[in-house]
Amino acid sequence: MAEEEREPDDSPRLSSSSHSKNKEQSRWVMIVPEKIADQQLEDSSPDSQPSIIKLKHPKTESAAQFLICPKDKSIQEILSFQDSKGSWFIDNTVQEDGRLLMATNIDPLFLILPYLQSENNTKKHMFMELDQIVKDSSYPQCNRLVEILDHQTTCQICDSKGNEDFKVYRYSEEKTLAWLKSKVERTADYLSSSDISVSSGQCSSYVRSSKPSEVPREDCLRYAAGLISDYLHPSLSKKMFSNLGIKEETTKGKKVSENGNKTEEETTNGKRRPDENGHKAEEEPPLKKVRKSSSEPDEDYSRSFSMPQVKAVPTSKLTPGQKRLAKADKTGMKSLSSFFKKK
Amino acid sequence: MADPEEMQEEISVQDVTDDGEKVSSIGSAEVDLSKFETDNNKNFTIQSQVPKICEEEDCCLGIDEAGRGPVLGPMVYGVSYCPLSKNDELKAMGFADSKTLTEEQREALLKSIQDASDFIGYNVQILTPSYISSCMLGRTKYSLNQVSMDSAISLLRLAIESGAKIKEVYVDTVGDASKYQAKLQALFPTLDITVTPKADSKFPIVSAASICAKVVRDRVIQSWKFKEGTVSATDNYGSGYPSDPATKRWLSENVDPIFGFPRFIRFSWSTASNILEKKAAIVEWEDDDEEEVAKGSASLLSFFAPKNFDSRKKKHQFFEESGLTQLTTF
Amino acid sequence: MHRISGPARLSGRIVRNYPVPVSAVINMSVHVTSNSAFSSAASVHLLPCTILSNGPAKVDVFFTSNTQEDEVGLVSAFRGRELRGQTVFIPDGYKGIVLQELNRPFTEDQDRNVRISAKFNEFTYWNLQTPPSSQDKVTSALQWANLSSVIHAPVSDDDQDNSPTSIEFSR
Repeated sequence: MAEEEREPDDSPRLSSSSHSKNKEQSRWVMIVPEKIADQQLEDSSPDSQPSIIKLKHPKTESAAQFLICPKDKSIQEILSFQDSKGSWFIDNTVQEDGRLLMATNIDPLFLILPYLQSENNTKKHMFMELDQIVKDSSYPQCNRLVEILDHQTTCQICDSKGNEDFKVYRYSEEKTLAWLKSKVERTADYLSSSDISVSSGQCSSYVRSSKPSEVPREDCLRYAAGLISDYLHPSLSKKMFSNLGIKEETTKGKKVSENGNKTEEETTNGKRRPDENGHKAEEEPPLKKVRKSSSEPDEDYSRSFSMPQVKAVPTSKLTPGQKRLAKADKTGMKSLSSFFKKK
Repeated sequence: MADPEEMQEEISVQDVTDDGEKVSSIGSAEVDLSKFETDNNKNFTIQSQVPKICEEEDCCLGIDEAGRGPVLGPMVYGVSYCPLSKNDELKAMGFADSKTLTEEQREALLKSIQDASDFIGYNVQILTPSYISSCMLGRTKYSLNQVSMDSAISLLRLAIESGAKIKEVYVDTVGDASKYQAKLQALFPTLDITVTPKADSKFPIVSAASICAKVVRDRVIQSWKFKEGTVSATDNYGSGYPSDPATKRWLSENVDPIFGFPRFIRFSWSTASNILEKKAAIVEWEDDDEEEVAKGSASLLSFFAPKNFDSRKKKHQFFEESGLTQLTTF
Repeated sequence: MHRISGPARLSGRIVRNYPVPVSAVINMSVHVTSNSAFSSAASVHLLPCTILSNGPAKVDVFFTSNTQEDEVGLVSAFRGRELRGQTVFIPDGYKGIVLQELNRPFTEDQDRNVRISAKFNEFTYWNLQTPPSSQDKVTSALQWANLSSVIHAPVSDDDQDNSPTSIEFSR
């Protein structure tokens, strides 16, 4: 085989995996709605073919990839599933990129909401044509959203005027909140009968398989609203939660990142919150070294657990299993210590 | 239906899978590997019938191994046992260290062991190269020494459980003799255990065990059925010892850029892994060495707290727990 | 062989590049086209390691031939390490596809063409040593298929009228 004779130096394997991936990649493994996979795409014109386009994500306000299918007037967001390591075998080939892309339907109303809201804010309650509202020089393909929206659907979040040939729209917060409420309730209904664990807190992954029979309605609603707020601008998300009369879950992570201040907990035990801002994250490696040194504060339980592990191994080189154990101890302690210090 | 006389005449050997299931019975000096060959990735135990006299009289048992060092093929462990009263008869059979004997001599000696089935019993365990590789390359380290001891212990246990009255045990050493002895003594406090280097030249019963092991290993290698099909067993892969140039050449010439080697090869041997490093695609595992783990944890942190971290890019708990992220470039 | 092998399928016809007015394209689209017929589903495995290579691999010869099934599930090995596998079915209403790009344009703003080069309804998920279970992330990732359809289905008049306690999705 040719591969055998290839010089090690010019083989792509010498490059680090994650960063060079996109340059050479020519295959993707994806899950798509069946009707898209089975469409007869042979003779279709480019305009009617499914296309992967870049749009502004309503929550992050930065670029995300979407699969749009003009034939069945649907649009899918694309999420990427990835384990820490992975590659594919596809028939008798290997593919380095082990991601599994999932194209799942997204309600296009989520994608036009930011445009409706911003028009509403700037143009003072003017009614406008949809293709005038959904316009973005940074994301020109957003006009393709207009093709897949129908009048009736759009009216779920808009007031409308006009006739068959000429329709104009204006954002309605009241309608939008009602629309969101329906979605949240429908999703909460689904969650309460699914085996997805909606209980809050860090140990949620524990109980996935053994779900308690009766999950409080509020937990389902909060989880559903949390999922849906992933498609909303934070300001609208806040309104949705207050309209539903439930508290947005204030995870510890969010609190810290909002006020940006170090809490007592972080400074005393030398640990980092995983979701702090950038410059603190850069300090991480030196701090990790300090943690291993002997001048460790007493309340760092991870040390008292992991050090005997190290001593117990005469060769001083940890086996992979022991390394994992040490890692597990640390992460376990993180939640435990923050739990005790929470006010 | 069969004549009871004939049944007694027959030297019967039972094959037992590692699940303890009796799978077949073979006669004569033949070593039947057909069951093993249906899945040669799985360990396999061959067990002789326990001679009646071994259930009645105190026995000595020898333990030895064949094929510890080679980079390919199985490691085979053997035990043989006979009544202490038959020691002179055993000596008369002319056992010696299997390494000093020719292949023909070993075959002949196995035949004579099988012919002496009225007072010698044996058990042999084939530890496949797949098994050895996966043990040594496992998430938790399982060393070859540990694998060896566990095999020896299981064969000894098998002999005892199948009814032989084992009294004295002689073991060719694996690593530190005194530690090994202490370990065995703790597990079998009632036995008189001797662990010593070169036990196979000192004690005929260990020689017998070593012949059983060695002949079985030779047979397994000769008849190895490559599931990969592309490689044939007749190719000259030499002695299998890493120092043998023929073995090295065979490894170098038979490396697959993705899969490395057929499963006949012990991937855990540095001879094999060095060749893979040069000639095959790099493979990264979650539990790779120190450096990789450090890199991995750094990238985990940067996943949670990338530079210019934007809390709005943080997705809902569901997505984080499911390993799902938004696809931003295609 | 009754089935089209990977490499043969991948070196099929070349997809045209559709001309696109340059002025209109600041963001390029990726057009998805399809092969005509698929004689059978592709055999797809997700491994617990990253293999730094793209291209032909003797999967049948080295991997499939050595894969066995026992009481716990599928057993195989890669590079001497034991793998434990399980078949993962693509959720109802979805299909697995492999997208292939044959000619990537030189510039970033040109439209690209990818085509569906293979389809599959299931794949084998492999773990290192540990048998796959519902605790694996892939399980909950695939739950997204159903969950997303509940979240993103259009809101109907029924939804709007429903009282909060009504349960519509009982699976």
